[in-house]
Amino acid sequence: MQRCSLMRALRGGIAALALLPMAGAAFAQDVADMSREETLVLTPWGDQPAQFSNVDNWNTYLSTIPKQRDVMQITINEMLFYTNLNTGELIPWQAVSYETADDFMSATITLREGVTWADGVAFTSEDVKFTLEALRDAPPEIRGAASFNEWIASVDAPDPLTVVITYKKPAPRFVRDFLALGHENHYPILPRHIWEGENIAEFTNYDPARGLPLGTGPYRLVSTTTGQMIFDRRDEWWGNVTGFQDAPAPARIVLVPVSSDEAMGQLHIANQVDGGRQLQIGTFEAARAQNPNLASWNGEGPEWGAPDGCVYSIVFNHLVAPYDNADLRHAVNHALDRATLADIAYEGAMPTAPFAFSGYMAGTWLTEDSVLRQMLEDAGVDNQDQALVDERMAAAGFERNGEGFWAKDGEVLDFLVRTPAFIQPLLAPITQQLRNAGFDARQGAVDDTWLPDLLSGNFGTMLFVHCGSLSEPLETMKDYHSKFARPIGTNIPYSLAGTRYENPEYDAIIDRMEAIPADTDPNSAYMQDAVAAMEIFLRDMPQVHLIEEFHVVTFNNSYWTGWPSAADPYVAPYTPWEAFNLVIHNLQPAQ
Amino acid sequence: MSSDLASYLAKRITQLFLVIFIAVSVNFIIPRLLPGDPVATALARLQTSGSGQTMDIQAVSDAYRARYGLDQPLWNQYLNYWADLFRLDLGVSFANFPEKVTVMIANALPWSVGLLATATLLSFFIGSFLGGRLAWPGAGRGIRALVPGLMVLSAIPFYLLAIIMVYIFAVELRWLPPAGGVETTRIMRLDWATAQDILRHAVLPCLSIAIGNIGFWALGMRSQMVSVLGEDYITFAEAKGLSPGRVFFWYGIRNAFLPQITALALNLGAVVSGAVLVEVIFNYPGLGSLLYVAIRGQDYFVIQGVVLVLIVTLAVMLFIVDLIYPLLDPRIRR
Repeated sequence: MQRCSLMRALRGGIAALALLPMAGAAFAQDVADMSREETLVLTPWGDQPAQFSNVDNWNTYLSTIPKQRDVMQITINEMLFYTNLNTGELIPWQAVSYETADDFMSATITLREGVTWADGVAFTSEDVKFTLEALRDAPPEIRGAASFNEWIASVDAPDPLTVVITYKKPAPRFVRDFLALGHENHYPILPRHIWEGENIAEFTNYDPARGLPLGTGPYRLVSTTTGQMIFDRRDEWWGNVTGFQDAPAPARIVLVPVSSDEAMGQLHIANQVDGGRQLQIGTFEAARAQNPNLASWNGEGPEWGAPDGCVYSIVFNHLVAPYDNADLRHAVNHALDRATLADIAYEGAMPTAPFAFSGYMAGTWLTEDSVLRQMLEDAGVDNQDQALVDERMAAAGFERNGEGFWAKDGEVLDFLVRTPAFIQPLLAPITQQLRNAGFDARQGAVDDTWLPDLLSGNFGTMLFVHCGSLSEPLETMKDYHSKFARPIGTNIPYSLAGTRYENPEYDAIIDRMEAIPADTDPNSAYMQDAVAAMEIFLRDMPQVHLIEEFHVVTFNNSYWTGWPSAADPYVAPYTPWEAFNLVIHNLQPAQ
Repeated sequence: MSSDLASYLAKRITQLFLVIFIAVSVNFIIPRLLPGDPVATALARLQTSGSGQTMDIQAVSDAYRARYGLDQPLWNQYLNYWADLFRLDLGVSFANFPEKVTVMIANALPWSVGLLATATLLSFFIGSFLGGRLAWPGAGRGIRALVPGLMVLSAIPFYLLAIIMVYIFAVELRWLPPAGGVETTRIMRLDWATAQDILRHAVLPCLSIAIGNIGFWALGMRSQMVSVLGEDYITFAEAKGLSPGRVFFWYGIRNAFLPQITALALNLGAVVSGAVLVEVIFNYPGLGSLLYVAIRGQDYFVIQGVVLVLIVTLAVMLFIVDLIYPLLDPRIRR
């Protein structure tokens, strides 16, 4: 009898312990049940904890709160314009058009009539003016503050549907880059009647009683806990009312956290998620074998994924010898076989890239007859050739020592190959290819020092990811402007400017390009400058670009169909990008 | 209370405070010895992830450092750190700014405690019982066959068992959910359906840890029981004509149990560190997942907070065992 009581107590105790999470769990607010068939389940992009943080802080603009790229961009917030990066097509949304003045010192945006905030208040030019001016005057921790302050002089709202932005200097691409690209910009317009008088760096934008967070989007937040964020469709959404668009098909969007690639693969197999975090190629192929409803951008591998605008590169520190020598940098370039690197490091899932031009530029700037493409091919950047290595190293003053390694004045060049953990697969094959070409290359430790060292200049070479041109050459070319260069020991203001390259001739070209709009016409001033900048780049080779980053974006067709793909490229397929909102509007129930 | 007991308690309490003092000090100093600026690193990582592409890292970093006193001399920071600890303030997460580290830990802790305590107690009691039975004369064939198998399993890391279990029970058989603390579409309410869902999701991670530990406990208990078997009080109990079950539980298990209890407290550290990857594999929302992502994201203040909580918890557990021990074994008091 005594033993039975003991066992009962033990069982009860263990059951109570197992249910302990209920004591700590945040319970959902008053939320109705909804079937899985009506619910779209997504996860945030990238590695995140298995619990959400800042669940009651919905400040769109605080740099450290990624809610805009996690979920607000497809639920609460909408943009003035979107862009289909596959074609360059501008897709007007809250606005209908914009026009830049001939001198590029101002731009006029015309807003769409009938757009309303979720509380029924009209969306007007006063909201746009308030937002742009708030960002211009914001403290540095606010996303975009530095850029808006650099460009915007003033904003006027002559009538409820017209906004005039006046710039401090010619800005032919400000609206496109900051308000229309639909990439990683995250600058939605704020409701002035909510944010006015609040401190933009402190305001949490969360008050369910007032309907906050509040946007113009077709969903409202109904629950926010560490385990879930739930959004229900608003049938009174302005697009429905005005006939602009039908409301999206998913009646509910649930965002759940996921902390690893393996966990995401398992959730896909079990049909517990529909999209979100990318998968590694191996995980994707294994999960797809279990669940044939999984799909990525391409219908066949190994290049399953889609470009994300980034290219893996070798950054040379131009303030550290001997990497300040252009011949040596060229020699390193010719020592590397990009295709083999892609095969070994990424199972052939990523294409080679002689320059940080994204695949999204293929149809516009890199067509068969494109001047820039021709220049890259003629220059033979992607050309592993030992004879060229030998020639360039000799020009740099190096000769092989008795062991076959490149040396100068009797001192062997100690080539330390460093990399962040997220591109570690490249470390071993690059080191080996360099050794094969006579460089005494060795692998650096994969630790946390790479980023502080990249920023402060405490490195010779570093593998890094260069997120550059999506829509025009300038986006990458500007990263070599000397305005970003700093002496060693002083942090660069921009992590893509790690080369610390300085060249007044190059700066002048970039300054000219920044003051005129992009133009693919080979005879245009822009293109002539682009060619001139490319010539300098190919001559000086400040950075060696290697492989374009393709993420295996994964979508589950079990409950929802209509995801973007290479066969139906209506928008780029990345969930954190603003334009993914178009995907939400395109989804249809599978069952 | 005898003076011996008072002296024993005083020593243990001093030891506890010393451990906590050293842990807090080391915890404070180590991140500051690391190269680079953790604030700038966290912000730069944010920039490279695409969330703050146009951020001026230096300016934002300076603003945060000033706001949180990180630009002050090290001694001031150290004193402030202690002052904050007394207010249960472990600082803010720079990767998830402005979330407080204490809030993140408080959200994750119940999941980990529930999972680890359940798994540890299950494996402890089952393993101890099986180990005891194995050493006891007349153990059945079933136990003789089962225990060596469990011992083999104890040599396999938890995370490997977790992967095997996911493959068998979640992917192939689809009996149990593969990941998460609850179904992705579950509306969390204080009701039986939610409780069931939590339990279902805890089964595989719990078993991954428990199965790997049962063999460990069985092995320890078997060797203890073998020494106990030769004791006079066992012979005396049997001579008194007590039932075999009573002799086994009240004279055998009870005496062989003492070293197991010490090992239980010491083993918690290994369980916690081993469970980190199990939580990651199962996307379980506990401290392990939090620590894993914090390490990957170089979120030093979260790492500091989680490690501090673990160290203090283990120190307190050992202290409690030290307190209980004299009650279980009066010889300690002498």
